[in-house]
Formats: sequence, C-alpha cells, structure tokens
Amino acid sequence: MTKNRVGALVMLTLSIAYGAMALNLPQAPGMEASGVTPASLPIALSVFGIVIAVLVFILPGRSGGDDSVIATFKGLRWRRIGYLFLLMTGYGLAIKPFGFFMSTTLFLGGGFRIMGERRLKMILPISIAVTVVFWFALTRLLSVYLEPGVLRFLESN
Amino acid sequence: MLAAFLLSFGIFVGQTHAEPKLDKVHFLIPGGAGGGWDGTARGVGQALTQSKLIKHASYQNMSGGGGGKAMAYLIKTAKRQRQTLMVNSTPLLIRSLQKVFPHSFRDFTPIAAVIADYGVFAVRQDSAFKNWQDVVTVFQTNPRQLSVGGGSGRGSMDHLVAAMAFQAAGVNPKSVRYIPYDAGGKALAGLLSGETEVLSTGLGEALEQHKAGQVRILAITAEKRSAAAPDIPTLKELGYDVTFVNWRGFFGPPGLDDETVTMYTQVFEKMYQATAWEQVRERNGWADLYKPGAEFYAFLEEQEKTIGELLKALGFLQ
Amino acid sequence: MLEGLLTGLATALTPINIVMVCVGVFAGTFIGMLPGLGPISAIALMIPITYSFEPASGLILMAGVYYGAVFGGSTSSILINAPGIAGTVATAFDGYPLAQAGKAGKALAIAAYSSFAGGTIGAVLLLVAAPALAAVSLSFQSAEYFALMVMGLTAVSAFAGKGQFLKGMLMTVLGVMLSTVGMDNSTGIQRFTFGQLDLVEGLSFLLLAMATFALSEALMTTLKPDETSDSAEAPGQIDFGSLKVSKAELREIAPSVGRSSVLGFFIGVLPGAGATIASFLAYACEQALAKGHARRQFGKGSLRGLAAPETANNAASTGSFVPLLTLGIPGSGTTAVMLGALISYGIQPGPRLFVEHPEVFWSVIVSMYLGNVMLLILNLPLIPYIARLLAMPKPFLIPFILFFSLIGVYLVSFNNFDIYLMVGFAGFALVFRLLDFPMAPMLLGFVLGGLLEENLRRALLISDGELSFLWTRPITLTILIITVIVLLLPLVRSGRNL
Repeated sequence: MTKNRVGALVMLTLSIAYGAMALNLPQAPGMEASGVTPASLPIALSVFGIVIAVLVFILPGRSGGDDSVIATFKGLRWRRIGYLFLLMTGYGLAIKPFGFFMSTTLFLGGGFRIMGERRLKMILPISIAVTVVFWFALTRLLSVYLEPGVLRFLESN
Repeated sequence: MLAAFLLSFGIFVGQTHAEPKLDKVHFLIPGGAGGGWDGTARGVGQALTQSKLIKHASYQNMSGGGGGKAMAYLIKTAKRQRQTLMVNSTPLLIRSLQKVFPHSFRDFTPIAAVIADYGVFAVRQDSAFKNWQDVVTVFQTNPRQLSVGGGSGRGSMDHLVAAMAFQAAGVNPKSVRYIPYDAGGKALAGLLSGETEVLSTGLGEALEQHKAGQVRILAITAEKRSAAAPDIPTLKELGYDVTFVNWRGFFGPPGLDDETVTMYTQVFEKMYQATAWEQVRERNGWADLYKPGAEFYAFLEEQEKTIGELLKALGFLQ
Repeated sequence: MLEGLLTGLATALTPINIVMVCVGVFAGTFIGMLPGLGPISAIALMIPITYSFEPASGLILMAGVYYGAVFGGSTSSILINAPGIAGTVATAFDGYPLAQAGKAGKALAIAAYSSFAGGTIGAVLLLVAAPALAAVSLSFQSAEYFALMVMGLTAVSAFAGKGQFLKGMLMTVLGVMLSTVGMDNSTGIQRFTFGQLDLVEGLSFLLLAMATFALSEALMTTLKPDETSDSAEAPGQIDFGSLKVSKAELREIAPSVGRSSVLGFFIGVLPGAGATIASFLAYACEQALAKGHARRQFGKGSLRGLAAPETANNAASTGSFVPLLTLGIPGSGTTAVMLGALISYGIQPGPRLFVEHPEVFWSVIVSMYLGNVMLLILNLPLIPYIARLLAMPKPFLIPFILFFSLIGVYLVSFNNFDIYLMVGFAGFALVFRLLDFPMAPMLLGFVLGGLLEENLRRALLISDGELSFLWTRPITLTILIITVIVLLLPLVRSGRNL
C-alpha cells in the first residue's frame, strides 16, 4: 500500500463519518424557510472529502521516492515518541491537581530523561530553573493566574 | 543554585493565607482577557482595591463552553472558593435557558447585580425611519421588508431584545427577520454598509456613532432615559410596555453562608460611594444598577421567566 | 494635513512616547514569540498600566505591542515552525524551509525588512487617505467577504506544482470540517461537539497551529534516529547563517513587497478581514504571478514566498486602524481591545475623533511609522541572541518546545482538555506528515472556513435564499472571477503535475 492510499483511506472514513453525523444534526428553529441550514456546509464538505479522497486513492501518485508505507514507518523511534505522548497526556492530567510548578518541573525533567539525558545534576536544576522563570514571568510580570495545586503557599498573587 | 531556589520558595511562603474576613477577592471570569466580563471584573476589582475596601484582588480567566466551564469549575471546587466571585450577565442566563450548559443561577449564590447596559435600536442617519413608530408601522404591514442585525446569534440577546420590542407592538415575534453577526462591531458595520435596516445592540456599542451623527438611535429599552444619552426615548414612553436590562453582577459559589453574602453586599454598597468607582464607571460608560441578595434573586427569576416565554414564542424552546 | 502631521510628530516624539514605542515593540516581540500569550491578552493586561499616562501614550504603547507581536510571531514561525498568531502561518511556509537550509538569519532579516516595508507603506497610505478610506471600509457586505474568503482558499494552489494538489485540497476540506465544530453562531445548534462543553466554542486556531506545526515538528525530529542527537554536547538544528541579504535578493523581493503591502493594507481596511487572510492572499498572489523556477521555489524556501505574507500582515495590521479610528468599528480582536481601551480613556473613536482629538489620531499614525523603525533597529540585532536559545542541545530543546507549545495554549483557556486535544492532533499530524500529506492547507481551511460559512449564510439570509448575489454584485463577481482564474492557471501551465 502506498502512502497516498493509506492517507486517502483514513480521510475517506473521516469524511463518511463526518457526513453521517451531519445528516443527524437537528433542524434549527425558525430556519425552515431558507435552504441553507447548519447541516448544509458539513454535508457539502463530506461530499468533497469523499470525492477527493477517492481520487487520491485511485490516481497514481508522483513516482520516484519511497512510497511504501511499511518502509516509511519502520525503524523510527516509536518508543521514544510513545513515552513523549504519555508524558504530554500526563501533563494535561497533572497540571490542575498538582499545580503548574510541580507538573512543569516533572514534565521537563521527564522529557529530558526520555530524550536521553541521564545526568541528574543537569536534569533537576534546569527543569526547576525554567519552571521558576516561567512561573515568575507569568504570575508576577503578567499577573496571569497559575494553579498552585499541591504547593498551596504559591497561591497568593 | 539550590540556595537561590530555597530562598525564592521562602519568599513565596511569606505571603500566606489564613486571614480574617474580606481581605482579598478572587474574581473568576468566564471569558478571555479583554472581553466584557473581564473588563467588568477588573474594573470592579480596581475600584475596590483603590478605595481600600479590600486589600487584594486576583483574577482568573477561564473561557470555554460559552461560560459553562467556569460555572462547572466553581461548582466543583465550591468548598475552597469562599473568596471567589464569578462575573455574570444576562447572556449567561439566556444560555442556561437554551441549555448550552446544564447550570443556571440557581446553582450559585447570587450576590449582587452591579451595573447595567440597555438595548437600543439604531438606523443609519440617511434612513427613512425618523422614529421608532415608523419602524413599527413598516413592520406591522410587511415584516419581511425589515432586517434587524445584531451582534449575537439567533435566540441570543440582541435577537430577543428586538423580538421583545416588536411583540410589545402587537406583532408575532417570529416574523422578525434577524441577521446575526459575530460581534456588535461587525453588526454595526453591517448596518452602516447598508446590509441591514435596523441594528439591535447595547447602548455602549452605538452611543458614539449616535453622537457623531452616523446613526440614529430610535429607542432604548430602559425604564428611564439614560443619563449618557438623554435624547433617546424609552420604549415605555413611546407606548410599548417593555423593558430589558442586560445586568452584570457577581455570583458566589453554591452553599455560601449568609454572613459572607452580607459582607460582600456591604462592600459593594460602599463601593458605590467611592470616587474610585466613579472613575471606573465614567471611563467605561456603565450605568449603576444595584440589586443585592434576595432582590437580585427575584430579579433573575423574573428575567428568566420573560426570556423563557419569549424563547418559546420564537420556537427555540418547546 | 501638514498641520496634523506636525502635531502628530510633536506628540509622538516626546521622550515619554518614544519610550512607549520602544517598550511596546520590545514587549510585543517577546509576547508574539510566545504563542498563546497573544497580543490580545498582552494589550488587555497592559491597559491598567496605561491609565496613568496620556491617552496618546497608551495607544502608542498598545500599537507598538501589536506590531511587535506580529513580528515576534514571525520569528517563531521561521525558527521552530510554530506560528505565534494566525497572521504568521503563511510566514512559516517558506520561512521554515529557509531556516532548515541554514539560512535562518537571512529569513529573519527578510521578515524584518518586509514587515517594515509593509507597515511603513501602510502608515503612509493611512496618513494620506484615512478619512476617505472609511468609505472603503463600508463597501463590503457579507457577499463580498464570502467571495474574498473563497479567493483566500486558492492559496492551496500553492501546493499545485509539487504533486500535492489533490492532497492539499483534501487537507483544506479537513480544515474547513474542523472549523464547523462547535456551536453554530447563527442558529444556536451544536455541531460535532459530542456533548463536550469544551467543544462548544469550537477548536481554537492556536491549538491546531501549535499541535500540527510546532508539536509535530518537534516530534518528527525526535522520531528520526540520528546518532549524534543522543549526546547532550551535540549542537541543535539551527545553523544560523549570516543576517546579510544581498542587493540582488532585495531587488527580487521588491515588487512582491510593493504589491503585497497595497493588497494587505486594503484587506486590513475591511472590518471583516484582517492580517490572516491578507497574508494568505498575498502568498497566493505572488505564487500565481511568479514564473518558472521562482514559482517552483514556493514552499521550499522562496524569498518572495516569505516576503509577501510578512509584508501583507503588517500592512493589514496598519489598515485595520482605519475602521477603528474613523468609524469606531474594530476590525479584529486586537483592535477591539484597543477600542475598549480608548473608551476607558474617555476617547470615543469614530468620526469625531478626528475633530475632537486630532492629536490622538495623528500621533498614532506617526508612532506607527516610528514603531516600524524601532522594530527594525531593536529587533534585528537581538535576533541572533534569541535564536541562540534554539541552538541548545536536542534533549533539552525538544521537551522545551513541547512545554512551550502546550503551555501556550493552556494559558489562553486554562483548560486541560485542550492539552489532550493537542496531543491528539499532534499524533494525527505526525502520522499524516509521514504519509506525505501537507498540514498547512488544513490550517488554511480552518481559518477561512468559519468566515466563509458565516458570510455565505448571512448573504443567503439577506437575499432570502437566492444565490444571485454571486453574479449580480459587481465586487463579488470580480473577486470570484479572479479566483477561478488563479485556480485554473496552475492546471493550465503544468497539466501533468496533479
């Protein structure tokens, strides 16, 4: 399977799903008269999406270059990316309960570690320092409110 | 490195809590920086701190869900939000009715309404409509001929105000041809460019253009004429029994005790006498409207009823 | 007018106002580079500070922040493919490839010169024709805006020559689909929100841009195994190159700059359009006008491709002051905040501003020019230092960029749902980039889709469902005809490369 085809297939599915949802949109009150409803554009888009996706699928792509999907996706650092995704999701989960300060320090530290840096004496100070700088600039200089989370004493602005 | 780190922490610890009564107020703003709610909260906060009525004010913006996110947040964290006030206004009441979010003013402790804006109707200076009567006459004969623009969507404030006004003139509010724009400014541009005939918006949005002679404001939905524009007749004096006020005020978290509520309302009362408030109000062109506690609650119920009925008449609610 | 100019100069050149310009431009640049902390929030937060100064000073400060932010946004677009504001997305199209090719310095310099040119020419036009332009502001109705947005979508043809045309269009369609998520403004109906309160207001541009540009870029770099990148000592990706731009190169971009500034300015004058669409249109316009080799360079590091949007967005920012100052109508989110600020100073922008507070009007115009000069003087030398930050070793750079992008979006909404959304989109972008699908058209479709639909529906509402406005209104018709020509041109020129 070529890259184009995989992409086209995904887009085709998306367009069909989108169209199906669009057809289920409720009618707007008081808009019966006009022909254009909130569902009009979505349905049109869905049709465009399906047509173009099919075209991309069947037409031969630009020749030359590695078109095989397997080849493109193989041999890359998927594990590292996986960890980074987990880290980012974790940040989203942690930022409110743990507070900005704690979560950011952990995020940066974790990120450095995932990226291959092992020296604790580099990871710890740098993540804390960056967090402090941002915390300071945001809460003091720009009076933006940041969740203090676990570190209650950071509450006052 | 470590020492500097500990030192900065020490400084933060120095500013701790466990203080008596109304020392600080934390404003929760259901919208982004620079918006109407934001301006109200910061203005009020500034007036309160400058007149030394409170020691400290902090602001937290939380937009999303049309205001629903901030509401959900306040309910969820109610226990530790004793010193938090959430800004609120009529559009949120309307959205509650439209079920944009599952909350309403009943889920909170209404503290007080503080300022108000009124709806106005404007036409271009070269328009054939010289007064509100003219508009109503045309509407009564052929509603399709008249397009009313507004800065919010169908079923939202500007539409409802227009519908209300026409309803009071004895016509079916459903026949109002409402053209929605994203914001008051764009709706104004729409009027001036000739796209719409009449503009339904807040007084603050069109006042300047009225004074400059670019538009003609034909009526205002207030009880009495506005001090900022005494030449604009109210709908009431023109013979239409309808008023509408877009209030802005504060809610506290649910379950707030009466003592704290009284404390807040007393602070607001004192605020009205302060020169700092006078300055803030002048600057923004706000009109005072004070409705504390129970009076506020009753007012909200009344407005909810009126708007609810109107929404039903328009077909937005079953 | 000369008298006004002199009044303006006198006010603008007072020490305090010069300081204001500098501070504004400086602060604005930093803020623009930090996505999420956009000019809107920055200006809103600065307003209280300005109360103790003269209104003119406050306005000058805010205008400085506005310009600075547009320029700062360009910097992050070029260096890390992370557009700080919507108006700088098009900058990344050719700016980032230039930086990747080791010419970051040149790219930033060209961005600076183009911004300067666009802003200055805009200021001149403003000066000369401001009151008259008020009429132009009002000449566009919904039908015309719709046509303009459609024309904006032709920027997707920028991908025509690379065998990506159909894929580009597909991504544009996806972008427009994404713009429909949320509550439909006109009717109050929720679309594609899956009952999530967080989606009621739709997806934010910043979120999509950061996720599909910055995040995916950082992740892509991490994905590719590279022996040297594991060591903390290895230098970062940015090879700066010199800031020098040769005379020949300046001559090459001059016509583009000229055209884009006029185009950008007039689009800025329209209240319903702004820097974003101006930048896309300028990009598409220059791409359509270029021939042969120059044309093929677009998307790969074309100097014109960088200069055009940069000029246009600054010219448009200047143009957006026309409706604000002459009619009191804000043309964009930023000018809306400034309008609020002006009102809180007790100044009502509108036709009377000219008469009652001429010093405000003229000093703003003069300070715009000063602001542009300051931008050039202050920022150009600073850029190498700012960019050195990006020369840090990859293990530190990547998590920093990830943090930067996430926090940038979080700071706007304070909503952790947004972080999850970003992660999701970044994943999608990563996969699709590996599949060789371009992300830029998606962003284009997203930005224009919302405005396109809104104006189309409003035009239909006004015409009572009749589509005739497409051909009976002269401006609309003209714009649509130009659109069709621009779209067909690449197909005619190189029929095989679909």
